[in-house]
Amino acid sequence: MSRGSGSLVLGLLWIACGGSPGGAPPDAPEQPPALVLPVGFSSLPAPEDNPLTPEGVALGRWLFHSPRLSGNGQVSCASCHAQAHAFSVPEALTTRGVSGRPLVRHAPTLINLAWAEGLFWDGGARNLESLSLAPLTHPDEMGQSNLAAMLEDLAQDASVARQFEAAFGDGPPTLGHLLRALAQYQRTLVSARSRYDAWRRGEPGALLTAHERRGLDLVRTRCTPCHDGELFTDNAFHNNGLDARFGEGEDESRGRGRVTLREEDTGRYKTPTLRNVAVSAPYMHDGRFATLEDTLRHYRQGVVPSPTLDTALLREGEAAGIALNDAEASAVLAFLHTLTDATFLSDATFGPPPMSEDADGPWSRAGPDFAGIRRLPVARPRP
Amino acid sequence: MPQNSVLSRAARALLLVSLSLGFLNACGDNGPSESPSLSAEERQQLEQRIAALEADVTRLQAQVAQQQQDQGRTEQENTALAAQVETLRTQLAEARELLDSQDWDGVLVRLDEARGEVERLKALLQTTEGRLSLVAALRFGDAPFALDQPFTTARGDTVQFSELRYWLTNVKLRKQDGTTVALAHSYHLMDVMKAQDVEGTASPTVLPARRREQVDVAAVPAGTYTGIEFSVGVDPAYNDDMSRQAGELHVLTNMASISWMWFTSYIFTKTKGQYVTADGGAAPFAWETGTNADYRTVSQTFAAPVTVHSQKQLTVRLRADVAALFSTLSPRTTPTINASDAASRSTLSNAFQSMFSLEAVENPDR
Ligand code: HEC
Ligand code: HEC
Repeated sequence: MSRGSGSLVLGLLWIACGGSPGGAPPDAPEQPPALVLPVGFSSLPAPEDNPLTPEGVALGRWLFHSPRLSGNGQVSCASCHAQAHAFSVPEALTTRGVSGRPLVRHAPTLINLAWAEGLFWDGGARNLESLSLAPLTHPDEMGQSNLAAMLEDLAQDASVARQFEAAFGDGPPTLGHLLRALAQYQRTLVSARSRYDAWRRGEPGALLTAHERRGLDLVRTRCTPCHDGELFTDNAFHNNGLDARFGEGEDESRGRGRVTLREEDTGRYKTPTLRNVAVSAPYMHDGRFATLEDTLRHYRQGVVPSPTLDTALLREGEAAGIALNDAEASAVLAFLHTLTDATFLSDATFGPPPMSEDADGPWSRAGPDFAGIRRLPVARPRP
Repeated sequence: MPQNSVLSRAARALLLVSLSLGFLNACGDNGPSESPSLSAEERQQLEQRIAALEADVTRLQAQVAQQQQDQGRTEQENTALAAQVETLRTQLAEARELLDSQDWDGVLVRLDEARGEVERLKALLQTTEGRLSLVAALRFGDAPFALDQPFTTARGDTVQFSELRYWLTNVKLRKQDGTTVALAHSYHLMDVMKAQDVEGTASPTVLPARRREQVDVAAVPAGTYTGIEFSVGVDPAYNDDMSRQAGELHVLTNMASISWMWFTSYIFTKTKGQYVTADGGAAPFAWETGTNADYRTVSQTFAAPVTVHSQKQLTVRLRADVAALFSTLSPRTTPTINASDAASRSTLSNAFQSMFSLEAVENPDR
């Protein structure tokens, strides 16, 4: 899929929606605030045929928080992707779905997905547009067994229907539009306002301690090539030594191999981002580690050999793993905490849309002020 | 509205009458009142010519209406064409009026004008879109294909089908220079199936029983073509993004099931039924294809080039021999083919590609 040419600088969007009637509060800043992106990124990529629009994002935000999409009317995307946990859940195999049965994998964080390549732990979904169909219809997630009736229900609600029309033009709500709106909203879930980011941009007063900087250096040398770059993921699939044996065929425990059906992909999973990792416990695709300490212990002394174990974890004349002494592990841990983006975790514009005062609609008519549109002085990035 | 057009027609007739009077007078000749009287035979000839042109116009009008239905044109083009036909009708009505008033020359002038107009309209319709019918008639060897009927495969299996479905997509016509013309909205679900519940909906949502072996394409750009191409399966752009809508693509057709969803994929082909086991019993088989790797393109060359335009339509008759699916695969050894079996999917996809052969190409006038 071509990406990039459809990308959009969100500052422009802000002008568009700020200009809508009753949009900007009276004390709104003169300058249109710019979206804060990680250092080195200048725009949010989106597919050419689903560019971000204020109306589309607003609709997606409402849909994401709406339990009306689920079979029993009680589960929304946000049930398993909670903002306070960086859009993940604090339990390993959640039972929050409509059936109450535990899922087979940990619900991952939803962070900087605009730049993600494969989605799901095994990369089975190729884009956000298609992905939502899986949780919507999965009997243990949202259990929506009647998509047609769900759309009919949305069409019956005049304010919802109006929001669809605002986003996608005339006509009743369609499944395609619903999928596109959800994707648009999720692309705005950008985290780039952590203490690390402020320091990285050279903002005045933004500091990392010597201990934290030592941790950063260690992450940049020992945790690469996997948790690399400003997104702290290479968007690729690796076997980081959790298990010795894996399932076969389409078994979930075959990891990436389940999708590609290639032997060499057995036991590989997508590298998750380290951003907000301090609030997204438990860890790994099955949530097997409760704490970051447990996770570091795994890399230091718990790595299990298997035919597809990543070569980055192999060591000459030693058991597989990553060399970190106690002081280094403590520095890594300290650094990981600087990746917590408190604004991302609490930004009300990511949360459920406020109920409108007039009976006109489920979302505020004040206009969508989505996605971290805050102007921060952009200083010269540190080299 | 009707009143209006009557008025304007009458007004125009008046105007035309005065114009032709002027024309005749300018020739220094006699006016209509003094025109020589025509023999009954001559009058009849004139009437026949009017009638023939009227028939022409009626045909053209039907064609314009047909194209309107086919949605091969913009609203504006349709309106313009309809107006042109209306003008023709007016001219012929005027010719009849002039015939009644015995203005023979006037009749001839009108008829000349109308003939020119008819030729222009025909030419216009010729340069614009025509229609294609692509028939992929299902067979099993020499027998017609049907559900619930035993067939013997080349490998000696006895099979009986409960369902056969596939996406026929991206129909293209090949031009003489080797380039292809892609037809729009070209995503068609072909099937022989019984009524079944739609997965992803609660009952009573039901897909009706259906036998679909023909694709009709309305907007085929006019041209001369030497062959046809189409694909079995859905191209990656649409297969990877289910929010994209084109043609008949839809998630709620049981051709994009949930277990495939992990792969973000439509099911390209479904072949299901029963086979007779070694001990004489019956066991089910279910074969599906549907990852990007399973997408196949079929290409057929016509015996002679064909012309397509609004007055010449094209019917391509293919034979789709289901027996071809069983030439290397056997339900006995491979009762299930799905996402997890890449090798068999590939073999089956190749078999789908090879099951089509060209039976006839018809290129009649419309
Ligand atoms: C019942 C819990 C549950 C619900 C409800 C749910 N999800 Fe998820 N989500 C998960 C789990 C578990 C995974 C991991 C699945 C896997 O990788 O195999 C996941 C994965 C994802 C991913 C992949 C992220 C990545 O980095 O690969 C996205 C995106 C996502 N969900 C979006 C949604 C959306 C949108 C909705 C609502 C339409 C939704 N989810 C509803 C549990 C849930
Ligand atoms: C060979 C590549 C590789 C290296 C090197 C690597 N990781 Fe990972 N990491 C992964 C993969 C892949 C996963 C997910 C594995 C899974 O869930 O099965 C992961 C998961 C994690 C998680 C869990 C995150 C979550 O959201 O569940 C943390 C934390 C983590 N790694 C930290 C580190 C640290 C710190 C280092 C360096 C000391 C490191 N990793 C080195 C590939 C790597």
